[in-house]
Amino acid sequence: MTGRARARSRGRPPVLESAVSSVGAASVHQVLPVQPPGRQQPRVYTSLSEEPGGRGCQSERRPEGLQISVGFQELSIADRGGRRRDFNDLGVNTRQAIEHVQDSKTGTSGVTIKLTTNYFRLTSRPQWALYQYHVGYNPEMEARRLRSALLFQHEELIGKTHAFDGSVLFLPKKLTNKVTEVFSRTRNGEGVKITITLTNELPPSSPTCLQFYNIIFRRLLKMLNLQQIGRNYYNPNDPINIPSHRLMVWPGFTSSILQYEKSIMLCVDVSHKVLRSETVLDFMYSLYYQVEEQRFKDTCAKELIGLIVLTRYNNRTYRVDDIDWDASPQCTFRKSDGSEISFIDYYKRQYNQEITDLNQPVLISQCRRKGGNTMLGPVVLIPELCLLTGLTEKMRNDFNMMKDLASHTRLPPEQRQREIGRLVEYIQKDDNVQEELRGWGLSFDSHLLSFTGRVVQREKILQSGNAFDYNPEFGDWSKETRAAPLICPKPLDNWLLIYTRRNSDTANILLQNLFKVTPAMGIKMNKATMIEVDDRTEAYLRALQQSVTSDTNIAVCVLSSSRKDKYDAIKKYLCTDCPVPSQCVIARTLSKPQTVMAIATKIALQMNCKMGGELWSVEIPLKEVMVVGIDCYHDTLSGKQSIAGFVASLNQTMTRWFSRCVVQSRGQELVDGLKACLQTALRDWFKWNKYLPSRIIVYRDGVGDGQLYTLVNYEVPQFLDCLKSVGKDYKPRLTVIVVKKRVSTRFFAESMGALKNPPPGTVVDVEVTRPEWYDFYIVSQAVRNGCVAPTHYNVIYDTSKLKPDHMQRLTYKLCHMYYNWSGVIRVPAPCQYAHKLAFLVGQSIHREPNLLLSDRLYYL
Amino acid sequence: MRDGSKRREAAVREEAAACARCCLHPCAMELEDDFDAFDPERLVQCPYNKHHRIRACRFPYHLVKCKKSYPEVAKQLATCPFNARHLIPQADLSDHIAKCSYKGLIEQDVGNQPSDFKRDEMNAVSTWQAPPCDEDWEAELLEQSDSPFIWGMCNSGINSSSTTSGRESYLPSGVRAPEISPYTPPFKR
Repeated sequence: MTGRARARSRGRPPVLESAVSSVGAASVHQVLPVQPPGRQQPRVYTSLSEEPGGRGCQSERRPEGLQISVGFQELSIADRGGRRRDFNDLGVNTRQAIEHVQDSKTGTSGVTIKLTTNYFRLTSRPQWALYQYHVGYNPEMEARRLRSALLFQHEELIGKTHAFDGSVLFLPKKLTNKVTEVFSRTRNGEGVKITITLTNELPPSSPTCLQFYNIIFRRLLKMLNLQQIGRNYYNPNDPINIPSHRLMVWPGFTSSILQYEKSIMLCVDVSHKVLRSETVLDFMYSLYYQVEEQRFKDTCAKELIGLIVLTRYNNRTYRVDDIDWDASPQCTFRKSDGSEISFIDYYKRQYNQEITDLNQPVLISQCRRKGGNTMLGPVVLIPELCLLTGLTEKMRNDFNMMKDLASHTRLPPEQRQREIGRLVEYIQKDDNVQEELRGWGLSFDSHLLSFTGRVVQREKILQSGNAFDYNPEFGDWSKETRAAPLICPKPLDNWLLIYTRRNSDTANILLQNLFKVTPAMGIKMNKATMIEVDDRTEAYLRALQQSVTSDTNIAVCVLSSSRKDKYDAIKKYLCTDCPVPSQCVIARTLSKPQTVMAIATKIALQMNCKMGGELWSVEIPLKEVMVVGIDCYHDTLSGKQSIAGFVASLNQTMTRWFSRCVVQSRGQELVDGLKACLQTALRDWFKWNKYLPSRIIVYRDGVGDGQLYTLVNYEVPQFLDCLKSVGKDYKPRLTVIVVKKRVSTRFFAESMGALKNPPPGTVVDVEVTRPEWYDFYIVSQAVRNGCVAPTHYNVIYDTSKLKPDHMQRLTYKLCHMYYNWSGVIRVPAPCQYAHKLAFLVGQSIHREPNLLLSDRLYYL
Repeated sequence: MRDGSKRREAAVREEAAACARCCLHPCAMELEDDFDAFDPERLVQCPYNKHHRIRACRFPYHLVKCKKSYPEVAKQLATCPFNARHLIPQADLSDHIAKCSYKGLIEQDVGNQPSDFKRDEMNAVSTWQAPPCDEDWEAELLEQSDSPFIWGMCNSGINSSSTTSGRESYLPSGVRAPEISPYTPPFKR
């Protein structure tokens, strides 16, 4: 069972999902040959749920002759049904289709580096196996609890160590007989015959076993009194309080056990849950004093709806969907047994919680997931008992608060390793946990996994005839390239500078500083057309309408505040109706005299990119290659449409990018319109180069856990179809790489006895990668504080025949090409461009921008 | 199975809700029509089995699954070039292409490029040439047997100075630039 599935069934015993599979099939396959991990496509089982007529699983009898596939048998305890997703993308074997990496997917270049990672090897005793049994009852018992109770009357037979979900029983030992019959008695004295049939003997690496390990590990975390929230486990008994910001941080862990390159390992990372030590009621009161009475309810609804709250009495989280102003804790509701009870009495009796404010409204939370054991209606919550979680936008913008928070959550390598070590210590010190582990014959290594990684060669930054070396420790070359001319400067012949009366000084400062910094870059600049406007959105728009002509290079707007509506209106107008590059500057950023030069430099570079200029490049030792980046933007909270951003390189040096975006339905992560995007990109490429690319390399970001299978079968065919439609003889080499930023893997470099962050350019393609994938990790960026997070790259489709080493280095090279940052970034530039584009369109424009802008980086 | 039946129930309820909505809008029942084309909870009919009604947000996942379950039906269906959700019987593809509401996505720009943009674009090409690389990865490909593919390259050089009018000639026969839509309905050919 996966984490989220677990979360859904929180409060129920660990092994809940009953396995339909073993019924009927039990007598057919007794000991099945087990497939190697990863060979099985995970979704074979879903066809079952399409059978008409939903029946209870216990009464389910499959027709004779209809045998369930081996795969289904294997995954019996795993996720079934469309909703249960496989978050680890188990069983998506993309490597087997990529011929040239069958033998080896490791790179060779660079210098070696000794690394430690947050993985522990799982060890089991020799000849370890897990025995899977089917348990049948005669007469049929429906209640799962009863079934367990009846079975465990025979503990002497079964033993203390077991996992049972009502129908499938896992034991670490083999019972003497294949079929064992025992008799139990219910409380009313009814005799029940229980048949325990061995159905499967699982070796340590079978997929079922992996799921089983995760279930057992979660059981251990629960034994350690850790509290599950979402997919992670937290320790509420040891909170870190930050009273100055009324925040509370729960330390916790995220964990998963999977089959990696050579062994099954446990990956543990530190996770933090930020809670606000403020109840919803407190929040309502403070808001009440801030706004006028008649606006209170609306403001309150606006602020609260969509937030996630935590109720301490059961440690569950809920999303606030509505506020019922007419109800109060004194209202009554009908319990499932039919009796009426007020909320006050209910919370007193059920959770021993005293509600003091009797006139507060109540919060309504709709159960987002349908199904489960009962049909769940809306949940009523009492504001006084609900803690706010997460950070608001306002808090995120509070620099001091984020700094204080970061000191607790952004742990440097040494400290992070210590925290991870703490979990292992807990596990090893707790007798119950040790007993459980011993019972199953399992144990964990006590040391973090160590191995050797590589640091690939440094890249030279090419800028107009010069090649700059930068300090790899900082991964940044802003100092080195400061006075160098750009590859392609765009003149500022005819441009607008729009500002309010109050900011006219700021506008002049900006103009003077631009005059100072642009000559060194090679940018020819005329004086701007200066336009003073009122501080209203309409005034800005009117000025733009009147002054922007087809010769305008760029429109620069100095804004007095970071008010989103003004920015949105300007961007929307200049990206759709009147396609001209635009640059917005908030006046405050120019207020400090000591930094104004540096800021003007950054603005000049950004403006140059937006007008189609080029800043720098790196060596790309491949010809006719087009690189594509895709990312998605979601705004599920306010229910806006999702945007997929698509960018494609237009030239050999990868300094110019074509872009498009697709507006999709809310929350949609897979892209429907890729064919059309790629087709227009190819057409533009042809226009620029007079030939078509012979290689296309796609970096796909924004893929969620468990979506790999659909991605492989839904998006890759779109690319292939598109290339086919160009012409019969056009067969470019296609590579599709899935980029994942959110991984819990961390690497620590050992240097002089201390643990440090690995330097930019560190590549890992051994040990912690997956055998069924052509994947690797790259640490491309440098961080000042905390632990650097590596980026995971998974090549899911590749006909390029490129060496893995070159694939890795190309990826690293592309991390140097993002023009809004003169340094190395976490993802290849096309992904970051696609992200920027999707973000701008999703936040401000809400429809596809004018394609006249599509060959420039107007979205930076 | 338990889960399956609950889902069905939920689907039935959703369907009832959807029906109530569709009474208000005559074309709401049509596949991918936009009474709220971006509503992820909207039910969409599966092209492989008309009894499957899928929430729009799960539709791509379902298509992949059903394609496997119904390989015979899959052979009959073609994917719309504008939106991969549109699976249309081969015979109706040209009809669909003619009226697909997502056509705008690809055609928006075809007739939408004013002449002064062309001029701008010509200016846009940078004159900067990257210095020659120390390495050549093409020469180190893992499989040397097939010669590296060079596409439509008669004149080498990236900033080929020839005019755009003559560009068709760079292409071998049977290949066209992507600008020309391959999806012209047969009656227009």
